[in-house]
Amino acid sequence: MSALLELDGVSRHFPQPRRGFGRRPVLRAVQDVSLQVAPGEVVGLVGESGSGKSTLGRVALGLLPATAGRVRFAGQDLAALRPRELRALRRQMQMVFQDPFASLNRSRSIGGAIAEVLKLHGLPHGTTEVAAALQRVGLEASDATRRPRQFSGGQRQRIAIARALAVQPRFLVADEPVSALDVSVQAGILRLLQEQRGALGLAMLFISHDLTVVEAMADRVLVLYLGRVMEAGPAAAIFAAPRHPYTAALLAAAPGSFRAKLDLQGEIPSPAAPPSGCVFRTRCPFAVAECTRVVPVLRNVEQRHAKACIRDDLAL
Amino acid sequence: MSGAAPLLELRALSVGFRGGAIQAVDGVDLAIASGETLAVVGESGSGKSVTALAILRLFGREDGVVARGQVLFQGEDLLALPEAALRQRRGRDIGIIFQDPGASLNPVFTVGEQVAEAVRRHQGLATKPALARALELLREVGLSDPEARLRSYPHQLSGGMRQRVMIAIALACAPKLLIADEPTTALDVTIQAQILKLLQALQARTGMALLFITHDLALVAEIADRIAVMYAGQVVESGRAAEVLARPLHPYTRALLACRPHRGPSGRVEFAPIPGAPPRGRFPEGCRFAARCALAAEGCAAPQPLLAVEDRATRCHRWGLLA
Ligand SMILES: Nc1ncnc2c1ncn2[C@@H]1O[C@H](COP(=O)(O)OP(=O)(O)OP(=O)(O)O)[C@@H](O)[C@H]1O
Ligand SMILES: Nc1ncnc2c1ncn2[C@@H]1O[C@H](COP(=O)(O)OP(=O)(O)OP(=O)(O)O)[C@@H](O)[C@H]1O
Ligand SMILES: [Mg+2]
Ligand SMILES: [Mg+2]
Repeated sequence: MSALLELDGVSRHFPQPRRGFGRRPVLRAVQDVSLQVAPGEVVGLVGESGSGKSTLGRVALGLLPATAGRVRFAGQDLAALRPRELRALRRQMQMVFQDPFASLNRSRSIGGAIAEVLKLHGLPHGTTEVAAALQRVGLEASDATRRPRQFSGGQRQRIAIARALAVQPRFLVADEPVSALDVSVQAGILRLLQEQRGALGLAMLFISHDLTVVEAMADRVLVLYLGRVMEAGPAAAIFAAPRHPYTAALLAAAPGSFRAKLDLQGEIPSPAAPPSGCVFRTRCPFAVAECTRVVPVLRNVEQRHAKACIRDDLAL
Repeated sequence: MSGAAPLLELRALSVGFRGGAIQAVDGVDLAIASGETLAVVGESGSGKSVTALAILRLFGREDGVVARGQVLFQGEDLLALPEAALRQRRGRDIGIIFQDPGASLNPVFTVGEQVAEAVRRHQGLATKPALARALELLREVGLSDPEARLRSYPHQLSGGMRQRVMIAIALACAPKLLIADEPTTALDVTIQAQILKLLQALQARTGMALLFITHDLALVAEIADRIAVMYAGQVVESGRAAEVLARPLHPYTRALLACRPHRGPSGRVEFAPIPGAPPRGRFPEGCRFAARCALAAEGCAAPQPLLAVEDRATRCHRWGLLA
């Protein structure tokens, strides 16, 4: 199947404030990531705090330009589009931001905010449509007149989801979409997302630090560390038999995991000054001398299952 | 709870908005002693954050808040305190980590300025030592490259980093009571574990009490001494955390535990919500969970008082069916 979203060697760097003289340092938030998402496919994005998940999500939607590489949506290169063309595409690609409060306009009723996106994309935007959008996420029609600050944290998160789904996008970047929800409401929202996927072929980049949720939602998983892909493959294979030491460590750290704990040494290095060779080597229990010299390429260990690690002799 | 007088005690706390037209918290009793960790869990919108905000009266004018009952901190009723005196308690005696990290950091100041300002305000340090302490705090909450982060603006940080900056600010004043509202939602388990260790070490050293609001039941099992379960503005069950989680005495608690994602017989992860939705804003006379409850019977239409069962409490007259 041809890809809906295609990332080809995408990087996003942020210039850093100069320290003393010399070249201006850059922070490599995302480095050389390639990824394809088919219609109706859900790709889970996991990795520690600061590993570049939100940045990659924004780049994938053209909300943040890539500093290198190419992003294509439905065959169109986002960087080559005019602002008007990009705006038209926006209806098909939506984002649920990690911080829902910051993404909502505080002085506007939430019903107004939902009606606005509907209108922007030429869709019916009356009270009926707004009420339907709210009810789908477990809120009430009468909530439409209230402002964001009048809701609980989890209610605001659901408002952000309601707004993103209202325009019936083909692709959604869901950045920690259920992090503020109790398990019951969370289950309802995950079901809703699965329904959208079944009914409309919604494809998703699903970001979460809750690995059980990722396992439940994702077809494929991408594991990021310091902005680089460590491992990518089918969700079932990754959760059953991870091939990269970092993935194994992440899985072992999850509560209730039966995997032997793999203690990561030291701290996450600064993404502005990543280690030479393999960026993970400073924390890897299996690092050997060669890891300081060789940047491991992402290579297939099975069909569509790849890892960036030179060691093939590990039983993880 | 230990025999000592509690550090914080909420007595019949009720909070309404719009002059009382919207009821959010309804007759909540909670107590927490120094050194203790009380976890508050409950459905989204059940009144957890409003309870926390009411302790420090952190509402806006436009909210039209009506609060009744008592918030006793070291025996003094904070609800009756004038604003100026209350401001003294905020940040010095009582620290708070808000649920929305993005909304509570100031976008125009650097992280270093904001953490150092908190240190300076509460410990009266000069600028240099305050910055040094800020750096130490950022390191303690596990930010990589803390020197560089001091000069970052909030928008230049990731979600989990912002959350940890908030934690550093709340800890800057070494409070007697820390209210932490979903403080680790944006953090992966390894960093979460580091934060919990930090909080526990602080408790052991300073006797800080911790009011921990969370929806993460695995986390509760790990850190809480006691737990209070909220539903539709009320505490419906409370008791020692391990006991409540192992043997709930309220049908809502039981239902909540049952909808944790789990691996089904097919090997796939399964999850299912509790059918229906809680009442909001206006509450029925009788049991508020009855409409969704598998055990509901006739007696449930009558008001349900909190019943003492040994050293636990439940708002279900049919708790015997669960025990
Ligand atoms: N606008 C920006 N300017 C400078 N640096 C940035 C900016 N946005 C992100 N970064 C940096 O890029 C890196 C990746 O951040 P990102 O938000 O993508 O992480 P994340 O994986 O989403 O983390 P979290 O799980 O904590 O949300 C971090 O080091 C962050 O400080
Ligand atoms: N300023 C306000 N004005 C009107 N209603 C409000 C206001 N703040 C909160 N509410 C309502 O009060 C109820 C309780 O909100 P609260 O924020 O305490 O929930 P919560 O238990 O913290 O939920 P969550 O887990 O989603 O954060 C909710 O139904 C909410 O909509
Ligand atoms: Mg993020
Ligand atoms: Mg809340």
